[in-house]
Amino acid sequence: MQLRRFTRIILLSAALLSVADAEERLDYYSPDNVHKFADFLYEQGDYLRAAGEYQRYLFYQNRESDRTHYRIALCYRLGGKSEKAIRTFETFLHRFPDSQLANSAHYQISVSYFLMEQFRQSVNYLDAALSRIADVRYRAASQELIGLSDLMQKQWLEADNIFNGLQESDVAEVRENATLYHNYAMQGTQLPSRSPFLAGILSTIIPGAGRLYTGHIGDALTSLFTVSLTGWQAYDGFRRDGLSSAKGWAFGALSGIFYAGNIYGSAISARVYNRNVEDEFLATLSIKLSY
Amino acid sequence: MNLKRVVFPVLTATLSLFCGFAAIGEESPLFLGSYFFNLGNYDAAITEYKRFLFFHPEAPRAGETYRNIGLAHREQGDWQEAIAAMRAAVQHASNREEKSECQLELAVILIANQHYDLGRLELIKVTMQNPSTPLNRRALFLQAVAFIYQFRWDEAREMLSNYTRDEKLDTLLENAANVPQKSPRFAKVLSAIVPGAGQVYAGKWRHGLNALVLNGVLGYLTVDAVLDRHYLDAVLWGGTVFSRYYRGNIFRAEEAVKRFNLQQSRRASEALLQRLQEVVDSQ
Repeated sequence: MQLRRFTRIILLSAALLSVADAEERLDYYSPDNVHKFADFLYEQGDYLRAAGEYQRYLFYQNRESDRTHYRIALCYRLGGKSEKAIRTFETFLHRFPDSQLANSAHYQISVSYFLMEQFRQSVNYLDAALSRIADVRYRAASQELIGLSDLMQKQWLEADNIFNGLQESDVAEVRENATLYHNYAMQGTQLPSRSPFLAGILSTIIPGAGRLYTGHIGDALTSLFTVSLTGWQAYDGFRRDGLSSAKGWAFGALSGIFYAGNIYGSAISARVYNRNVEDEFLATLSIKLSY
Repeated sequence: MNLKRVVFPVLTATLSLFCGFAAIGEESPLFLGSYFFNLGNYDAAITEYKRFLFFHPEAPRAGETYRNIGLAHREQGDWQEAIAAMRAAVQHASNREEKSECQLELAVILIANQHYDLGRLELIKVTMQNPSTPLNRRALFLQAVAFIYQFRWDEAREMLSNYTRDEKLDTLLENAANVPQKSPRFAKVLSAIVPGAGQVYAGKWRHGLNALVLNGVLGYLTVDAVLDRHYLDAVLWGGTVFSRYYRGNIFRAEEAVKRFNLQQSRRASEALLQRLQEVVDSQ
């Protein structure tokens, strides 16, 4: 009797626990839960981990999903793994050439090149892929990206032409950005510049003058002083002891080196000046990619 | 009777099996996370811990899980993430003891990142919570370590006096407090009188000799020009090249002494930390 009662209690407890267990047990690795977790990681900005979870989802789901493949590639792009993103987007395009996301994938490949500062490559890719981008929004965004790549390469006129055309775009966001970038490109064409040739000529005539021309007053004075001092010492040596003067030859050689360096340095200084002006100008550019 | 003997164990085993499944089912990401952690696959471990937190953000073990994430990040050298996770662990700790443990781990990470004051702040918080004796001792120990890294010997001694009584440690602290420090100002004066002397005073013989030769040659050229009554030459040599090197020699003498002092303090601190390690190992 006692045994029967005990058996009942045990069985009842077991049944209740199994029901409770069935309600509470969570299959963390079911495709749906893996996908939810991946989405959570993506929202949190933990893109590379999210990519891994999307891959896990594909494995468990055992069904091809263009959306998930695209999301994986996007995770790599957003996670800073641009090269891997390009490869994954290319694989995506190979597997799902007719996917609706193909337009975006082409654009994202170009964005990845852009982010890797391979601006020429970004333009080349879009030049080839533009005909395959049917979506109006991505087409406009791609043209905008070509213009931005031109801006980053300091090709102000080419960029200006593109943004001029995009000011009539049907896509409002691209149209607004185009006005901004058009003004920017216009300013770029009017940036001050210095001629390396002229800087070299000026320093040939008066040591340091080329540096003065590029705005480096301190360097200009140093060049003038160094060349003059060593030249003076060479002159002084030759004046005192004639052509056999060791001091004259030593300082003469030194002065010659400084003089040549002053000319070469001035030409380089002009180039550096131009690059700095352009880089400083570009640093003020706030790039907002449409997608 | 025989039936009883058979039925009881079978039923009990069935019951415990159900309970066991429930427990394992709920915590499997944690088990997997620990498994990966022990294998040194910290990235995979973090993923599993995060998975657990995603499904159970307010679970009683959330604090512990955040702590494990912090430790995994620490192992990977991702210090900022480690600090963020450990702060979350402190917030989610289920009791005061666990909170103190997390704060201690946080302090370790902060000290390792040379945020000594922030690390000590966490340790002070721990001691203010009246933790258990082992935790309190660990907090004192870590505070002493932070003070040693900052070359604050007296404070380190005070902390260690509450932690351990070790004669060798006391001697090392005494030595550290009395470590010979050289005067940067005296080095500057020396190099002003004899170029390179300040560097020699700092133990940098080669630099001293270099400064002496360079300044000697340039000084000679200047004086020679004066003696030859080439005053323009003398002004040019003395006023520009020589003065530049002469001032540089004085500046470098001061820097050499500062570096010397820092090196001395570092040596003392390393010796102390090594001894502390030995004390900890022996306990």
